[in-house]
Amino acid sequence: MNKKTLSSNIILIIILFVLQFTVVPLIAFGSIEPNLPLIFVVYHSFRIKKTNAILLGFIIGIFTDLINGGVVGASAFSMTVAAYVVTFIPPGFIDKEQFSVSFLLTLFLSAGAYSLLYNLLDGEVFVNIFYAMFYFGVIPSFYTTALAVPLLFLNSEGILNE
Amino acid sequence: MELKRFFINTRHHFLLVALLVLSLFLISISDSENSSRPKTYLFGVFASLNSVFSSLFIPAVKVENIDELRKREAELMLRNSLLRKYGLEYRKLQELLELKSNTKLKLMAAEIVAKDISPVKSFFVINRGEVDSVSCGATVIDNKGLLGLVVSVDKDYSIVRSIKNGKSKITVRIERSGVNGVICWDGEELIITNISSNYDVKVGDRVITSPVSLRYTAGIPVGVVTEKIKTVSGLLTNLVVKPFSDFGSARYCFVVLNGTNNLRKISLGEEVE
Repeated sequence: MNKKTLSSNIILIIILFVLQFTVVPLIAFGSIEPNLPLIFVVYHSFRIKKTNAILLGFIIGIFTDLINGGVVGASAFSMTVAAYVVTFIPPGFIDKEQFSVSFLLTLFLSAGAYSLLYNLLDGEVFVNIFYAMFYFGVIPSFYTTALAVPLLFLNSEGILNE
Repeated sequence: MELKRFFINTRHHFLLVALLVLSLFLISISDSENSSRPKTYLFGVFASLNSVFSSLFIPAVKVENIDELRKREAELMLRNSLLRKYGLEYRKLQELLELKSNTKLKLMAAEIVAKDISPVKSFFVINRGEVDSVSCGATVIDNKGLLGLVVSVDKDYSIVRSIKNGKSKITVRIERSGVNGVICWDGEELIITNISSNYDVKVGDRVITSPVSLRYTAGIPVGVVTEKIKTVSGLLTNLVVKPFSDFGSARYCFVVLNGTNNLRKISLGEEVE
């Protein structure tokens, strides 16, 4: 990764964080909201080495923890696991240049793992594990995945690769 | 060589474990003062950045207007809280007035001006004294039941010993069956001690002050039996009584001026009252 790409990625992640804490709460349903930094992590995890992907997840997670005022380490833990989920995907499953439904599926799995773990570590009370999996896992990850759909179109137009 | 290859192939697993352990360590020290410093700094930096972006998304409203509205909202919240307090006070006073109009006892309304809510020796001070014809030994009640006994009288104030005081030993009666007993405060509960197990007492029975009481006006509700505890021998039973009056939240009370027993001199001894 050259310097130009690195700096543009840093600017991009800062913008995503700002959007996450300003605009996303406006479109949240109660405590259910999409996670833009997670989309960034999953998007880049396909393109870099496995170790770098896990490290990226950890760094973005720790940054999220420091900004949102929650339990420091909860997001780092969850984001690391989310990035690890991506490394589990077989190389042939996703075409790195042409993101498709398989990308969304991977994002869905990662977001589910992230959301469930984060809520668990952040002190949410899980009365029923199936309810928790649905409420804290499936619904937020579905929302995050839905928000990533435009990426497919942007990618098909070649905008993301420029 | 094999080991090296194994490490290269699985290094992301090791990294994952290391980072997860690090995350858990951070969680464990999350509340410590050292970890809060960088958090506060970064939070502040991001907040200022955030405010710049927020101004782009929030409709253009004058800041002064927002501040004025927030101030107004806070004032209304305080006013609402005050009105709620007055409403509750009004309801309590209304209940007390109803009690006063329905009884033959001569009642003197009083306000509780101070409380000593010690778990074992609770007293409270009322704003009625000698000038209001309050005398030592007068029974003090509220709209729900017995509160205590006047043990000391000053010109304008009186000290009342609550029924939740270890020294209060009140002769009471089970209203339904007429069984007499002595109720006392053990620091946690009101208990009628050593009632014969053969006596007709049930959970839910109302307890009132007994006519044989030396100091308390008879017939005043005290509480309700909530539990029967048999002693080791099984011959005697202790009754746990839940008082009708909530001493902790009471703010107003009545002094019974024409009670039959209120002219006797009170000593602070251990005798049954």
